[in-house]
Amino acid sequence: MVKARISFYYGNKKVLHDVRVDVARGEILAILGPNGSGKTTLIKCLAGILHPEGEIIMDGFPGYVPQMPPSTFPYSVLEMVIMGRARHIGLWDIPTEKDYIRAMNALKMVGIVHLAHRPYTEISGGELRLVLIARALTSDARILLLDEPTAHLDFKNSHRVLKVIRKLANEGYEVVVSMHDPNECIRYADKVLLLNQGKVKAYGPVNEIITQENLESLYGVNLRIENVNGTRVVIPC
Amino acid sequence: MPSKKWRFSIYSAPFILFFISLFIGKYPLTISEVASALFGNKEGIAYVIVWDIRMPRVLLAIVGGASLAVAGAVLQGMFRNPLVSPSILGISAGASFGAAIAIVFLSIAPYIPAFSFALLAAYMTYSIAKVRENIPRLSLVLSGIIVASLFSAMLYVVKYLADPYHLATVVYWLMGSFNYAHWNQVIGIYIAFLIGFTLIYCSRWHLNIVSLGDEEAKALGVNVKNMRFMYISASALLASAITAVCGIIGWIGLIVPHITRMAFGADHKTLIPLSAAVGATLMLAADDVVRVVLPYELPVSVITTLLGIPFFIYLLRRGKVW
Repeated sequence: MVKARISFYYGNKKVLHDVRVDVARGEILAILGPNGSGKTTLIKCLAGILHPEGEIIMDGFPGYVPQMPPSTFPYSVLEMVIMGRARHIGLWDIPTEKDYIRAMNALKMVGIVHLAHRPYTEISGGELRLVLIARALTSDARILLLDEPTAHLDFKNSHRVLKVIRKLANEGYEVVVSMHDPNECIRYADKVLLLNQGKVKAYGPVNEIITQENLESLYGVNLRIENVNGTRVVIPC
Repeated sequence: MPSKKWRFSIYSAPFILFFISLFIGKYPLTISEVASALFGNKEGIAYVIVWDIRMPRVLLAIVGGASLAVAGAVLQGMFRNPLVSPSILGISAGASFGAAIAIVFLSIAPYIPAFSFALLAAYMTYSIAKVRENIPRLSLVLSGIIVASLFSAMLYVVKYLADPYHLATVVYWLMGSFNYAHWNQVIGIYIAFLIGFTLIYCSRWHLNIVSLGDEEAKALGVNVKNMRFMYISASALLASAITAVCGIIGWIGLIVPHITRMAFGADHKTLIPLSAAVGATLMLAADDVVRVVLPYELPVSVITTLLGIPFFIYLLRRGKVW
């Protein structure tokens, strides 16, 4: 369970205005909005990286999946994933056999066990997102916070990553994910929060919120929504 | 992860070279003379040469190489910057200034002043380089250069004020060599090494987390600030102790972590102990070269620099510096 109601300032500039979020077990909440609307800031506030005003209630700690990790040192995928255990391993300890087994299980869950011993600096963007998701899973978090997991990914890999996220939600994880594509949102998310300049434009179930009117005012473009064999598709005009 | 066989060879290398080094030297001693001196036969000159000349020097070279390599590995990991080492960050310059003060003005053991100024230098470099919460790669290297030249300038002042006797001591010591090794130094350095290395070795896995940067470490539930203080202090202790006794020996702290990472991977869990072994072996080998092979005893820092520069050029040209 995640319940939050937060505002955030960068210096004197208010970048999040009383944003309310709640996610239940098995739900994916998508955050949709133009560049600079505060999506990343919202995710970082929930992840505990930034400290907002207001309150955040979570049962347990979240697992954060950043857009891009730094690539200074070529850790292997397994070494990267096991870093998810950091909060459970004391400063004077090192990971044990059990920690490695958890990491391998997480790699299995996202379907990239075969990459375990490859340097994470040499795998594809889509695989890298899966590594970071596996790292979040390894921490035992039941809440996943993903910052634009499909950014810079090709068509196939975007859906590969989103399918894994959907599967995890179906297994009971609570997911908050920021994204750019309303069609991905329609296909994979349960709820959606439309964010513009740090303010909530609309919030609720995907079917009710993703409307022509809401999206046109969110992005400032003309578009239409058509029904293709039962799936709603957003098409820019 | 390196295979067990490989790791075993790397860890045994310094021990094997340690024994070989005791048997070689300018003064001709037969194998049996050295062996009997090692087993406590106090007759003849062999005992003095083995126990009072070769042994402390060899022990010093081993711990010196290990200290600088581990300090370099920690600093590179912590600052997420493969271009740094104790000398590039000004830590060695700070240590040598502190040690020079101890030698010239205070006539006390140089360790504590060296450590204090090494720590000061590290924090100066860190604070100058820090832009908000970030430490850009280039600005860290540049502020290291600034701090190093500041302490070198102050070292010149100390030299200028020193009387001729102390001046000679300072000049020989600063050249960077193990020529004047004796047992007092060995004990002092091994104590410093034991403290610094134990701290780092026991917490080595968390260097992986710290090397991801503050933001990610925080999201993984780790508070980087306290750890950073410990890692800086421990690596300053390692680098300052060896600098206080043997002067500035460059390149080992930069090159060894690179070689080890290239050969065995980046995981600090294995990188830290392996760097110690590789550093000890290389330093001892370099010192054996100046001690035995060359006709004149050059400072060992000359050899480490001559070996280090082409290797670093190779790394840069390869385009993958990590």
